[in-house]
Amino acid sequence: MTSHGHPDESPEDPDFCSALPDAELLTLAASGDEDAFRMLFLKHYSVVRSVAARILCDLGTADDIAQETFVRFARSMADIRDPSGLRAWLLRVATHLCRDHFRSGTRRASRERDFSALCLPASDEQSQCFHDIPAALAQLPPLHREAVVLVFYENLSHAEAARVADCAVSTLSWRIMLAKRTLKALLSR
Amino acid sequence: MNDSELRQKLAAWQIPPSSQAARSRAEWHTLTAFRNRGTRSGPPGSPLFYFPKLAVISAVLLVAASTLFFLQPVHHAQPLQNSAPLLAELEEFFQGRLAAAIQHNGSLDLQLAEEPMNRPPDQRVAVRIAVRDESFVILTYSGQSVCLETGAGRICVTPLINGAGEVILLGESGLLEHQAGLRTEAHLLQGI
Repeated sequence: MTSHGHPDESPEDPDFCSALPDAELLTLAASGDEDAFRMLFLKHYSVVRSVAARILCDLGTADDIAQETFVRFARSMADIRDPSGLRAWLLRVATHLCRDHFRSGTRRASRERDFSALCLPASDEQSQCFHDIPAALAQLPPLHREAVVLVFYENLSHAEAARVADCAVSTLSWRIMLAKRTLKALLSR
Repeated sequence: MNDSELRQKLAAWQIPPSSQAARSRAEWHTLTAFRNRGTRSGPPGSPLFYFPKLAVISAVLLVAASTLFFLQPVHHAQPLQNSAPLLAELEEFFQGRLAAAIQHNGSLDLQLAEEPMNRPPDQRVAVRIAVRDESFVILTYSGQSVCLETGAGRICVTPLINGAGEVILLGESGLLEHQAGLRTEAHLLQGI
């Protein structure tokens, strides 16, 4: 893999990472190419972590979930049957790890949480911190929040989100509908 | 509020980027898992294609594991000096940001600094702390405080190299070696 690309291009360069399709990188990685594997990590790490952070409303645990997701990816590359669907595969693993975390019962009650840590600093006008949004999402049942994150933040269709969430499309649509109703009520106050 | 307004409102929530330390830690664990996975040279095929090879490998591993199980002492512990290659690998990967590596129950917990630190090469230490039936191996540097979450509670230790070139272990209330219920061992790590 080191022979590929322009000499100035490096795995740290996101443009270079995104220039190669996942399927190609995955094929190279599956044959032992560490650079290709690292590119896949660099390309998808932030998305996986953001999804976990929004589902869990907890940055520290999201770091752990993102790490575990990629460790499982490293061990299970051979099992990925649709290389073009790598992003969905990673999101599926991450969301299921989040469910395991919820089941473990280690998260804190939403009323104990400080949601300010979940937002970018308020000094940045372009990315103001709206504490009420994570606070409202935290009041949703975890599966509803998961559906909102996949559809609203990751822009997956209901069918794609249903595959990630391992449920019927109708189930996912129902969760979205209930979640929207709750969020509108909470955020309109 | 309509759907469009809801989407717009939700989009205002941007997640802060991960810390450099968390990202590097994740990258290292991931690359380690990648390097330790079984590689395959051919294209993906039927699981039956791999069955004979897997069966042979599994049998060999089973025999090897059984042999090791019966030959090794129950409380076998690797000499601390054997940890030098691991510390060298971690230092190379994290480029001066490694504060400590803690081995416990087959897992490796990494503590990283946000910025690279200047660590003199003669300050590397390896520490073993055993409490009840738990054993921790810490690879770190003289003067670096490390806290462990053990079944018996939280234990913080700061290894220091004294004038005689020996490693002493400071706890929160004096020398750790003198605390009841703890067994400790500490060495300088040289030859990296």
